[in-house]
Amino acid sequence: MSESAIRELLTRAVEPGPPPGVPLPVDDVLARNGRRLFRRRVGRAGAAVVVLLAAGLVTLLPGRSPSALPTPPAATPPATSATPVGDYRARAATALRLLTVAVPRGYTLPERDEVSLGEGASYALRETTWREPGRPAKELYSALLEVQFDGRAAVLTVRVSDLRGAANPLAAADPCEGAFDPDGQERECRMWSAGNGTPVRIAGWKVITGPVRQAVRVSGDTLVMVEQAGRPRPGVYALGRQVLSDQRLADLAADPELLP
Amino acid sequence: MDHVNRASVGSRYIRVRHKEAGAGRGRDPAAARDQGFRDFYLARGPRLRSVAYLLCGDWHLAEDLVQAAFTKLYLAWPRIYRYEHLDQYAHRTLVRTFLSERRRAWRREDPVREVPEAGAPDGGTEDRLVLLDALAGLPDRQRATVVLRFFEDMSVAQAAEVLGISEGAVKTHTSRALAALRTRLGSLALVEAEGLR
Repeated sequence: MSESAIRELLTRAVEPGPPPGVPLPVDDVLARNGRRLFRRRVGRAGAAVVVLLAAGLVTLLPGRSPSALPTPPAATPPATSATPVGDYRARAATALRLLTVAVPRGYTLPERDEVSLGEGASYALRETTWREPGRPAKELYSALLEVQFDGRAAVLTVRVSDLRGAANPLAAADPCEGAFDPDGQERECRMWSAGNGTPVRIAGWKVITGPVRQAVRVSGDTLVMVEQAGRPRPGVYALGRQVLSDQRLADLAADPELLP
Repeated sequence: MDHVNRASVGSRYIRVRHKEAGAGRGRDPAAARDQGFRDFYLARGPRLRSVAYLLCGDWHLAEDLVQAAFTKLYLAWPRIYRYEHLDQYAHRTLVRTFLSERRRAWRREDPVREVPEAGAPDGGTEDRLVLLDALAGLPDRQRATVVLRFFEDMSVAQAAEVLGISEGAVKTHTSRALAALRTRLGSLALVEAEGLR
């Protein structure tokens, strides 16, 4: 009996299908496990908070000499001036344009701004967000662009944030500290020089969808981050390869047009 | 610094807007996640149920297996739904669920195969029962190897990944399983010329 005969026998064995009354109740699985999943995730978040609180408490215990306390990060002085003024909406549009121009040949750009998921929900394929006046958000603006190659999708993102009140990650003794996704594997990080000489931190790690690359630069009180990663959504797998080279990422992050 | 570094993962990959939301910019990653799971279940559930049926020889047990596997998948969904090889992951979960269930005492008895319709079985039903009998006579890993290699058309490497064993072990299982199937199916006079057209 040949392998092809085995194949055909196996196929014929399932041809009649299940008898009536053997359902595939997806909603059952969702209903029975939705709360379980929620509790599991909340539990993990709670555990993380407890660990952080415990760590904080330990540092404040009496009897610990000041020298034993961890050195606080070199934070920038508290804000004394007004929030940087700028037309964040226009900057976001500029960022989206820069991302679009940077996409190499061969990749498909989205024809629409979003794709519908039904029931009023949708995935953004091309999106800009910006901080409204008077809002305390750290993020000043962002731009997102999905690109596809061979039916798989990746997302390019620019995020520009107000760094005041937070530590400058690139001024730390180890600029790579905290650069990675906590679940990521195969981490690497290095300082890179953009084409205009701006120092940029390039960090990369691998998650289940493939490689993530991130370029970060700091200019005054503003932090610019450009990132690329696989982006799955229903019906579309994540693209498991890098769209932009490290140099291109660094050049984008160092682009003065992104600064408010 | 957190707000910077955390920007790379999780919900940032997915932006879901609900049009009815006031500002038109509400996000509900959980709804998108559940929708993705539902889509995947509906698309791949029937095929995985067939795989489960060939593994255990009974549609009801197959359904139990698929449900158990999909429950595990759902609980891991926030972590895995971006996985490029999600189908492979689902197979791995299903097959390993089958193997671990078979190790449990309450599953050690032979599964009760469905009883054919009243009356003399036709040729197709007979072939099916003969094949299921022959499959049931194989050790669990050999049976899983045959199903993955010849029903799911997986390569040796893919089957090895799903089963969590080496490629050499897959080849060994395949070779032994085929030899056993040839003996059993041959002794039941189900030869290619008769059983397959």
